[in-house]
Amino acid sequence: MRIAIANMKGGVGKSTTAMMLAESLAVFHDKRVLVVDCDPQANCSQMLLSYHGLLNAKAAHKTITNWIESIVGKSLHGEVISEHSASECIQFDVSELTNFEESYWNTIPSQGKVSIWPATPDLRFAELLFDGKNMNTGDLQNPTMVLKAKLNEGLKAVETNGTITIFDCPPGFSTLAQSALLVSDAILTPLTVDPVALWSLKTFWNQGLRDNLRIPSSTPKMALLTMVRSAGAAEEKQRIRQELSAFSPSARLSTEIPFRSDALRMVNRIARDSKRSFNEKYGSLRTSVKALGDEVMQKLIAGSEV
Amino acid sequence: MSQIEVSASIAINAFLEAIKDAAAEDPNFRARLVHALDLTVLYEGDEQFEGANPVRQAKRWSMEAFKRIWSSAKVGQIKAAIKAHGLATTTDMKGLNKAALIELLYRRAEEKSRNDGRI
Repeated sequence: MRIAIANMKGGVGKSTTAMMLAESLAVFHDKRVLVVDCDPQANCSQMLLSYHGLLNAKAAHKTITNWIESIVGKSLHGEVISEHSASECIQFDVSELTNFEESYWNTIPSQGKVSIWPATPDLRFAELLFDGKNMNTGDLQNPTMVLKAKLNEGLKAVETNGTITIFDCPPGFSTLAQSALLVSDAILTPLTVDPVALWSLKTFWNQGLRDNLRIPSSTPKMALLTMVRSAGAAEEKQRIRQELSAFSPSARLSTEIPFRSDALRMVNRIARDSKRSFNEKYGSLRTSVKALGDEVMQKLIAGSEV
Repeated sequence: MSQIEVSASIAINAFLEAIKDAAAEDPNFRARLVHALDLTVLYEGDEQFEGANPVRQAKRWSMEAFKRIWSSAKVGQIKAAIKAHGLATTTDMKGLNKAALIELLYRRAEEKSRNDGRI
């Protein structure tokens, strides 16, 4: 099962949602989760690996940037390189959560795991290198189709039965983002509670996904309200919820991620060898993060039964 | 501006007194002044740990000097410095003795000092 976390709009919490969903599914649903960071901002990679963890991944050439360069056959610096497999570039079992460890208090250990295929800020340049090689005259879609096939093939080699792959897509439609959306079984769009974000979601789903990428209408889509402030603008918030429900009646998740100042703590992994429990990490957001995983799982199960 | 006329030495002395008083009262300000001096300044007793910035220290001092100085700190002071500078989680510190806490403090502080934001 593959889920793309995507929205054309930036700053709506895509990377944080990807991390929260991944850890919620791993801890509470025993899932093996692979996060594929498709965003050159590399925020999700840094959140899951720590700053130095990501630096080490880059130094070891274990990133999605290196993988794309290897498909092209040369690095951004012009060195000739042979093609890497996906598994060579993935960092397995990286979560900082102690909930996976049997020795942690009386918590029942989860069999879940979180792995990441990290990105680096030069990812977009690697994509452009790839586009240049695969851009055939008159066929603008060719780079996306080639990368989609490579991505599918690479993932199939590492996914086991029951693996959940989560793509953290950048704002907009980069070649890798398009490929990720095309190989996904479901799409989750986080949005903040404001009219611009709602307008952006409508445009993204209708023009981006349906008209341009021709993603079938049967592909489940979910909308998650994030950074919802508890105080103020009650009528405006209610209006956005109603408009969202009217636009796509079954898409709006009942779970919402509230705005919390301690969210700053959860996105900062101190070091690669630093550990903390799910509750220590997510603090006052822990029930919402768990609920997010529960609801997405319910939707995915319901979708697969149809 | 005040209309009172004073000599240059009185004005300078008053200014320095104000800095001295502020440094005596505020350990963070004192640590900032010491940092600006760009010297390894050793204090006596508990004072050296108030307002200390282990990240700056790890960048400037040798590992041996860092560990020697922090070895005179109390466990509570080491934990407070770790917490104040976001160098470890509660889980990371759980069950660690003083030597292990100093080791953790140095390792994380030194690592953080190398974070220049470049990936």
